[in-house]
Amino acid sequence: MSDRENILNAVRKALESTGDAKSACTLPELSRPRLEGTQETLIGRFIEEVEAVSGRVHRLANIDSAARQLETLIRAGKTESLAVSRDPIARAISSRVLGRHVVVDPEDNQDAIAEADMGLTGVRLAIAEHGTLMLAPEDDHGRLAALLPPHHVAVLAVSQLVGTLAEAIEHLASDSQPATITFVSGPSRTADIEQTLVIGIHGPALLDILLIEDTQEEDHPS
Amino acid sequence: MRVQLFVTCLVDQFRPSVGEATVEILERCGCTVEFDDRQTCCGQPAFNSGHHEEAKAVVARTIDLLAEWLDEGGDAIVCPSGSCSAMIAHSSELLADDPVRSEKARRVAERTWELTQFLIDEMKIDDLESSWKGTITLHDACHGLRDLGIRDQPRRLLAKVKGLEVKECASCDRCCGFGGTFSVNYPLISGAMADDKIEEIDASGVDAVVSGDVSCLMQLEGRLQATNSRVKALHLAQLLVERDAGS
Amino acid sequence: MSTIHDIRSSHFKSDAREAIANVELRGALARAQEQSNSKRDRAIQRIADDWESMRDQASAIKTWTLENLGEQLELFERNAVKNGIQVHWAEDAENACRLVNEICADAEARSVIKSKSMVTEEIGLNHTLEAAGLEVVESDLGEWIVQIAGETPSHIVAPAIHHTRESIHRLFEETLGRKIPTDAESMTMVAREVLRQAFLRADVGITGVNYLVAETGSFLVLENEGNQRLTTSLPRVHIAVSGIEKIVPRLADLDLFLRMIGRSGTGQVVTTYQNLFCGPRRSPDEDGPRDMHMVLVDNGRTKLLASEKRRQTLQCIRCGACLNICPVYRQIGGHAYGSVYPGPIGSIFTPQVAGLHKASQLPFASSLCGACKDVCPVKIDIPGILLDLREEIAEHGEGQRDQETELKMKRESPAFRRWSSLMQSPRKYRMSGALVRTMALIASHTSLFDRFIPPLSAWRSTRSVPRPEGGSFRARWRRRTEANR
Ligand code: SF4
Repeated sequence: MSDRENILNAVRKALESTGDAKSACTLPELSRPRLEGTQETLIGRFIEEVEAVSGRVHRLANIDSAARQLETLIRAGKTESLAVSRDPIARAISSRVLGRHVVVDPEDNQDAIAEADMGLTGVRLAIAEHGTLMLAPEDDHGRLAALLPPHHVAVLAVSQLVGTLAEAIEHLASDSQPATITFVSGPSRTADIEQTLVIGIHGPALLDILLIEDTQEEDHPS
Repeated sequence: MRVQLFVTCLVDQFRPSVGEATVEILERCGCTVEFDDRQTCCGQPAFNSGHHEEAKAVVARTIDLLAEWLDEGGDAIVCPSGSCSAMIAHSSELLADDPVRSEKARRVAERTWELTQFLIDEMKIDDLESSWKGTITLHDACHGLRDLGIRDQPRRLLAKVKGLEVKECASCDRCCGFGGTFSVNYPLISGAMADDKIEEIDASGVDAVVSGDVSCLMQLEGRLQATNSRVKALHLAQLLVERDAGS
Repeated sequence: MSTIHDIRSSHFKSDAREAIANVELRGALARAQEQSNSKRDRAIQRIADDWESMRDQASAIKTWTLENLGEQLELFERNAVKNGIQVHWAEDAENACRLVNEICADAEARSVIKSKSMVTEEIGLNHTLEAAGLEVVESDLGEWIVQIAGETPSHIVAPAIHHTRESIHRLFEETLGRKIPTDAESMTMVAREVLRQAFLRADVGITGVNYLVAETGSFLVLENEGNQRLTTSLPRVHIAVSGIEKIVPRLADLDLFLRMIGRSGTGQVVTTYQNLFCGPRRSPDEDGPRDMHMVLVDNGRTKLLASEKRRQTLQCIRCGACLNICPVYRQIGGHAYGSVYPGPIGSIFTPQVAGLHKASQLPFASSLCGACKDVCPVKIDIPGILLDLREEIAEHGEGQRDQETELKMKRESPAFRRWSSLMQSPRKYRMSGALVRTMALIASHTSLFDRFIPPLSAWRSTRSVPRPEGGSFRARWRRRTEANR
């Protein structure tokens, strides 16, 4: 017999031996937490939570101001090369700062992305209650731009913000599932050396979120 | 109110004054205290060591005795130990093979209280008009704390004691390391666990560490003496009974 | 046969003695516990009102799932296959290791990168892979430290918790053969550089699993460092290894568990990265693994299902809270337990999975204080299961005990039989009480007789013997009632 059959038989036999305990137990209904309040409350909470885990949020009116913010970040970080995902808003923003530094396309090989100082990507959703970004590589074609460079800049439209993780999971359940979903709450961290918190180990050490009010000028990804 | 003192074997043999103090406190609250001297042990030492057959025989006997007294019109069983009270609370599960006994055990458990639990929750008395000059810290004994939820009761009683200052230690609810046969099977671990608490207790500059269980107190006292500390180990009843005493 | 890799729990007593003598270790453990507990408390305080009902729900979901484990596993398999995940089943450690080896061989892999996974420690996967000539690199910082030190993890969440900054620094300099700065940040950055190269050359990435989702055939794995994202993004093949108990029925269940596990384990609201895997790379993706494998491991878990009480052991979500609160773990750390699963959860999991004869001391290595049960997010009655195991070992365990336990039982069993008969007779109780008091009184003055009474000498090895007050309560009570008459 195969391992599969052996395991499933063992499970069945063990559970049968305890008799009718099964009927007594039902799967509990889940409480689905929601955040009360206006969009402004959501934004406030999101910013608070992102900052609590050492990320930064920049509130911006439109693509132009987002591009200016990106330039500021590039200057401050002495960024020489930028990897940009294929997300339309990210592309729209990076096209406005193009030419002043090397833009690495994720379609280039992974070594080039690994060399980049900064990665610019879109997100599928963001969750206010935990300050979380939900990344789906299928949306922005590539998981590496948000991962290999030491500085991750994520572009987020206000309309992509939901209140709770439960809501985000509901969105996920209703869509067809992409190959991978990554929930990101803050930059990479470790405390494996004497519980000393160190930000930035394998993933990005810096996380900047460009939260844009109006992304109208360009096509929205979803 | 007719109260049966379930004195516990440790108090009976090693710290009879804790039993006497318990009686006096209960009488001060207007209870009529009785003591059935056929009592022996709650059965916990064998139960916790895995010798359940040996434990069952002892538990069954204790339950019979206490149930009989309740049937004769007794009101409440009070015990100066959270650990032994918790054992009585678990007895019906241990005796599950014997449904009649198990049901008896459930009834006994319903009428059994640890001392401070009885005073606060049942008698609604927090002021025993006691006084004790000095500074103490509390050790929350594990079984009382986690099986019976005793945390506030001793603190409320102590708050009314004149002249007393209570200093809380951060480790007040961390185990003292006694654990029954654990203390002699793994004496080094057990001793290290006591040390961990004693360090903080010593540094807090208190006169005594106070707890509701004699077993923990013997563990702490044994270690305090071995390390030449001047801190004493006192049972709650011994402190609460005092009307004019100091360290 | 189910086993736990490198188990040496039968040396518990001597290993614990060594640990206690290690002052540096105990200092590190106490600091670590203080910090993680205060972080946990703060994280839970923010949602204090909901915490208990969340625990109830989480426990109920796990209970239901285990009672329907067969159906749930089959459902997961069906859905996972639809997603393009290749599902494999392994009855025990040996088969699991063989399976992973075969997958690596098929992929013509030379180099494997791993992100932290307890089940692969349990089955000893690294050894098997290395024996087959593969390079295996652990990429979680703590795991890497433990790997280059040639050790096993001493904590299920913080593998290198037993190390100090100094010992890690020494280790890094020796391994890398160059001078590096001594601060945690610089050391971490050195590890980043070294490990980044290992990521780039790896052919296969291996991860554990936190939750298998039956209804979607996807699975979720948690991390903070980003090493797992790299492990699952760069290599061509992703192999996930999971215990069969890691399953939850619904995608929506993740919400509850994710809100609990970070708070409970590390005091984080949520872990930094939560990675949900729904299959290998799809056509428009430019990166991600081409093949995704799931290895479902039993290794003795099904044995635990037969008892309702013990089955709870399988509810564990490996958050580590019970280790962080445990006063015994605080004194001896993880290695003394002699199993990759140490602490309270280890003391119930290890003997049940590896067999009583391999770990019969562990259920007794607890003061039964119950702190673990209080913090456990899925409400596992750890002290209750410890008691259950103690009973099995004491009363039905003949021939299944290690040497130390056998010796103990030789002393204890007849003693408790005598004790039981004494405690059933008030007369015998009185007489033996008087004898014990006399002995205690003598013993409080002199240690001359200790060698005849092993428990007494054991007690005295760390404590002075309490002096009885004199007389019994019952004698005082009798005098009092007589006087009142
Ligand atoms: S037993 Fe409970 S507290 Fe311990 S690791 Fe498992 S889930 Fe966490």
